Amino acid sequence: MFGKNQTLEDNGSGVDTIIGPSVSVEGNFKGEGNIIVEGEIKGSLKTKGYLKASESSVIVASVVANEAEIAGQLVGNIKIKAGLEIKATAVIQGDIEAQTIEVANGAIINGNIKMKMEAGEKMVANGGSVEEEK
Amino acid sequence: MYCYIYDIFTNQKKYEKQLLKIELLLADLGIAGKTYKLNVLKNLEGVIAEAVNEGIKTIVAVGNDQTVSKIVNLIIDQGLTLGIIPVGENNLLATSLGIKSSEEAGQILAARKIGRLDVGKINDQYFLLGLESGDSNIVFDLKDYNIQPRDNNGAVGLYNINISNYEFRADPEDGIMEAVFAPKKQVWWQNIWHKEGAKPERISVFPVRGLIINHQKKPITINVDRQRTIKTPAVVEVLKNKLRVIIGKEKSN
Repeated sequence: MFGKNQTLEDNGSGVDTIIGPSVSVEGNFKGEGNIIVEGEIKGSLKTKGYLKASESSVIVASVVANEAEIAGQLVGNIKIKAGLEIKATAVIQGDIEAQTIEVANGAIINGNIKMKMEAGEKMVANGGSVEEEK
Repeated sequence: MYCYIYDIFTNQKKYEKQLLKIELLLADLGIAGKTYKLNVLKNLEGVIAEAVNEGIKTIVAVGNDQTVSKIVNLIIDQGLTLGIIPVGENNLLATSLGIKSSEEAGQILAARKIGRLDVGKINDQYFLLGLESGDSNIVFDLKDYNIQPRDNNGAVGLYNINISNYEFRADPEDGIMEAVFAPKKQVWWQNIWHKEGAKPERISVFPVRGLIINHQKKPITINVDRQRTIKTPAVVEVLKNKLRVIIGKEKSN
């Protein structure tokens, strides 16, 4: 599995599925492992692993993944269990939900962003300060 | 007892010395068995039926990938074990099973380490290596989604063993085959046009356990094990660990 600061190898090692620039995938794609998208996908995309959507990717689908890096075009809602990295070339239209989000300067996002709070922290309604739970 | 089936092409004079050497080695190792040399009058179906009647449990293919593929189709339902002695060109299967030469094959047959390989079934035929097509009219229907090549795609394949020139990992014992879509190769002027150091377009790889190979407009031809063809639509399933094969110590994927 891939950590927060790790990336998929360029040669594809550690990758279970590669949706390259010469194919178009339509329907409900469900993968168990790490996925690289450089081509087109329409429908829905789900994986328990890491998703890397490169600059050439065109995703018109709802996306669910454990971790993700988005650098291409994406129309659809995104739900990421852990960290999401949005690159400068990314154009996203849809709502985003993730635990942590890193957005590069230049990325375009049109949609709502929702971030889950870490366990053990909660917002205090009166005053809006953060209080550590003991 | 082992039964050795020599493919027709091994009758060529250029293989005479090599085969004699193998036969001496098999005798030395104490595994010389019944030998069948195929020719226009002696067909494979008849030979295998005869071997089965005689109670033979291990069939050794003496030839190349195509020899193995032909034999597998006839022995798969009989529960027989397959051995391979690679002769001639196109021996990617033997190499991937750790059998690098005909000399090495003798030692491997004597050691008798058994592996269980996945086998593909396309309609009513079996295949061991893979399926290939160059037709962009193809559609891979995987029940929940389908994959179609775009205009820039050159070749399509479904591989149990990587017999292609593309870089991907295919393990013939994992119950999965790899569907591969490869972009067209760039011509020289495109290489000049692209920025220096630009990477070639990546192939697509999908792990597959079963699918229907269909077409968009007209039925297309699929090459099976680089040996025979079949028309679409075709139902493909992966039969996990279906074939018992004698493998080398260092099997590569």
